[in-house]
Amino acid sequence: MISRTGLGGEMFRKKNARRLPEKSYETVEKGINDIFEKAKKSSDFLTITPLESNLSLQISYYKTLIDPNTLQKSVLPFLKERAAEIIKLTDLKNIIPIEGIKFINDPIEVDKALHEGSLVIYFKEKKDEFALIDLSYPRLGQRETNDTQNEFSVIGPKVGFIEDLSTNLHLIRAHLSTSDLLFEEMIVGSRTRTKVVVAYLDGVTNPQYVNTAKQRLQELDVDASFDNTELEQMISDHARTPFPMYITTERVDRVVFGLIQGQVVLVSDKSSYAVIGPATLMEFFSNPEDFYLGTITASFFKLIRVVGMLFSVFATAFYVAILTFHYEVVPKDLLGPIIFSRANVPFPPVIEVLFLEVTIDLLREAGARLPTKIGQTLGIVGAIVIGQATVEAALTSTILLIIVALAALSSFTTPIYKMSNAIRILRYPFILLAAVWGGLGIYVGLLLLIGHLARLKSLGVPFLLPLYPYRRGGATASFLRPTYLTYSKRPWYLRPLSLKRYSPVPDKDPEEGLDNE
Amino acid sequence: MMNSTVKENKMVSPYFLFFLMHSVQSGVLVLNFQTKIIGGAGHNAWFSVLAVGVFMHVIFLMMLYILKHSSAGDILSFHREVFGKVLGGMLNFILAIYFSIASLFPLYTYIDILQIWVFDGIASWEFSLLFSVAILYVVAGGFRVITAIAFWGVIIPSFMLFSIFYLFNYVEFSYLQPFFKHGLKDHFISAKEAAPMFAGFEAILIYFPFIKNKEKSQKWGHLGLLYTTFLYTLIALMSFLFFSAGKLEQLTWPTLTMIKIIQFPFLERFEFIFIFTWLLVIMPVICIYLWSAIRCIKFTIPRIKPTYLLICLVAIFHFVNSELLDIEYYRILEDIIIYSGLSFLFGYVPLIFLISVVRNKLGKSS
Repeated sequence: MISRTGLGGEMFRKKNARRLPEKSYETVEKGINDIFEKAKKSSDFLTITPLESNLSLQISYYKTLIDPNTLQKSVLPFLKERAAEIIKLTDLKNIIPIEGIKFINDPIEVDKALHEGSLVIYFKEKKDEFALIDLSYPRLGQRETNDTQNEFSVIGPKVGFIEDLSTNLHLIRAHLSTSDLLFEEMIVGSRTRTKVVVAYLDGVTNPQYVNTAKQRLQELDVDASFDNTELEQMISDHARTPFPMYITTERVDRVVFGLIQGQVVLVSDKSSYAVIGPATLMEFFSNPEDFYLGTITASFFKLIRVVGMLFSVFATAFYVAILTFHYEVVPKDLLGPIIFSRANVPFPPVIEVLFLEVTIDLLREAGARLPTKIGQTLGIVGAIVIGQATVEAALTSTILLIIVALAALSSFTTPIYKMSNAIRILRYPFILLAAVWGGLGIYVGLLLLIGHLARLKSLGVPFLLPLYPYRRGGATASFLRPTYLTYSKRPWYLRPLSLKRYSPVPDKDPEEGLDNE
Repeated sequence: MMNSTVKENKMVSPYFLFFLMHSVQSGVLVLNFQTKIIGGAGHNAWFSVLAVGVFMHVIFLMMLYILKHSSAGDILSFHREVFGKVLGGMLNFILAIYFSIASLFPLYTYIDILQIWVFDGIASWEFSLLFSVAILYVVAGGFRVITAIAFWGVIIPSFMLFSIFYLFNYVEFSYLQPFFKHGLKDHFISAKEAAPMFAGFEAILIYFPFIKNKEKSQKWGHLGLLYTTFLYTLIALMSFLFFSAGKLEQLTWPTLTMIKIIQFPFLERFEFIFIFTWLLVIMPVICIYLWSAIRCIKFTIPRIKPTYLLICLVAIFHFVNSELLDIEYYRILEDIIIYSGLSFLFGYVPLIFLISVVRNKLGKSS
């Protein structure tokens, strides 16, 4: 009866926006002339006549898209050498030593190929067939290093994705030596024509997720897709939520683990971030490094992260609530230091807290925008100077400074950047609620948060799984890192086609039990 | 005509029935029932609580029988089939009014508690406004979101059960003796006072179609009832061990007074946390009742948009909570809720059950 389905990315979907009609041309000749006329306005579009003997043969291309070396070494010399043999276009196949020369007669395809870095060879008088030679140069303008930039681990591989699709796909394919790993390529964006690859393990990943992801990508009607992190929002189930609905990561190991678990991965061209879905809330607090450390150590760190998240959201809100309304809950001995540190502060707690929280967010934002070299220095100096000075100027209390700094620190323990941002933002409504209704406000906020989280879905999977609806086993694994004995099965709340990952070998100590003999 | 079958993706797993049943039962009456039940069997009244709890299973079985023999699996379709469209519709409407009042009562009382125990400077309408927003948001999310609130409304507050270990330092076992001082009549009086706080699970008559795997879920329903009985008996027992009879009669909110003694090195006045956490306990009550009321009306008059209905009802709640502040109104509301709850559970449900049995027998013979 009462239901409000997610309003997620629907505004980008095809059914709500009329797509521009595909261009069609009356004749091939007319069409190709149109396309060339338009392209010629751009200075990097070249049409050359390579042969003295056969003036009719022409080559058109964008010089900014092709690899000039290949053109000079593998195309032109052969053309010139065997110029006499060229009578019809298909002869090129025997002359030019490049694999995959295509012959087509569709002007629209020619246009597409030009923009993907192909040479178009044709006869000037007879523009009804075209030879396409792919000379694209995707590595041009790419960075050389592929260390992770934002998701670090102390131990374990440090390989990350870069802004090139073929490199990223290579990294995934090289990790998983199985023919079950399937890549399905799609094109998104009417102007950028970005290649997006949907990757999954055949026979493991539930085909429903693959189909949902593919369908949403197909329905997308956008002109430009700049990055996977943006694409992720467009195919998200919900638009109005601070939480990311998919995991965006630049770590290869994380993606491979997602695939193994039975999740769908999106990789797109010009983006160094892969998108993993369906994602659940607690997954955002796990880290590949958990698996490189021992069970107990990793479980401890994971708990630290969860506690850090809770502290980060609620700490300052509780400070406001307690100091504004419920100073009675503070024991007498503790009340002394608080009064002492707040005695000179002229503001009510909420102003004091908002001032410091905004300062921290300013520092964070400035730190993200400043050039690396001055950023670090300025960040540290700024933080210390501002912190010291605000206390001395009696704008805030020292106790609050400690709480805010700790809360900021804990918000950065969340491995996924988008989630750590969501947590940073989440605290503001709690602070405001606490300022007006005290502890009650915090609890109402918590209630609204639960109500919100319970609505969220990622690729149709409830976001709060396995906590709500509760799934045994999964719930423990979201707070602790299970041992390899118990981790041999895929989480069944992801509904993979096969549950078993491997047969665990019980760690039997051969010496065990000797004492009893 | 409303579609009577519920879509699969709106249903919830059977084990949620445990949380749904238990969370609607535990409302505000838990905070003050001790004072009332002590009037009958005195310090042995905990036994009456236990007895009422056990008897609730019989009523639950009756409800299950009714649900099983109605076409759509809820009482609304049953009303329509047995009493016809007009009379059945009227009954559904009365049910909606009952559910609405039952939904309003915990909210009204909770605001009262907040003003007495925690805040004295915040006006009723401010609280009411805050709660209205929360209720609107949760109920508009549909049954799955309400179930989530019921689930977390049982899980999160359960940490407060640990306070019993703390209170155990202050118990006096001699308060309970002698065991058999009171007769059956005294126990009956206590039982009558204790019964209203078990009310709440009658909402299952409305939401049962939303539970997957009906057969399997019955077990969870009984477990939910059992857990409620266990908790109530425990709280009653704890209070009787904690307070002397004379003291208990004087208190308005014995549970809160009892909790007040708890202190930690970092936290005085634990009852603040207790009262705030109680919001998570009463929220499922409010939301499930309100949702049931809306479903009743929507079933009877399918043309009404549930969203408007929700806004209307919440607006009425807000009016009552911010304007009708006199203690007289509280008494009236409490009387209505207690007597209508009792007559619904012990009068109407058995009656419908009998009708259902007769109808079933007739249907088989003909």
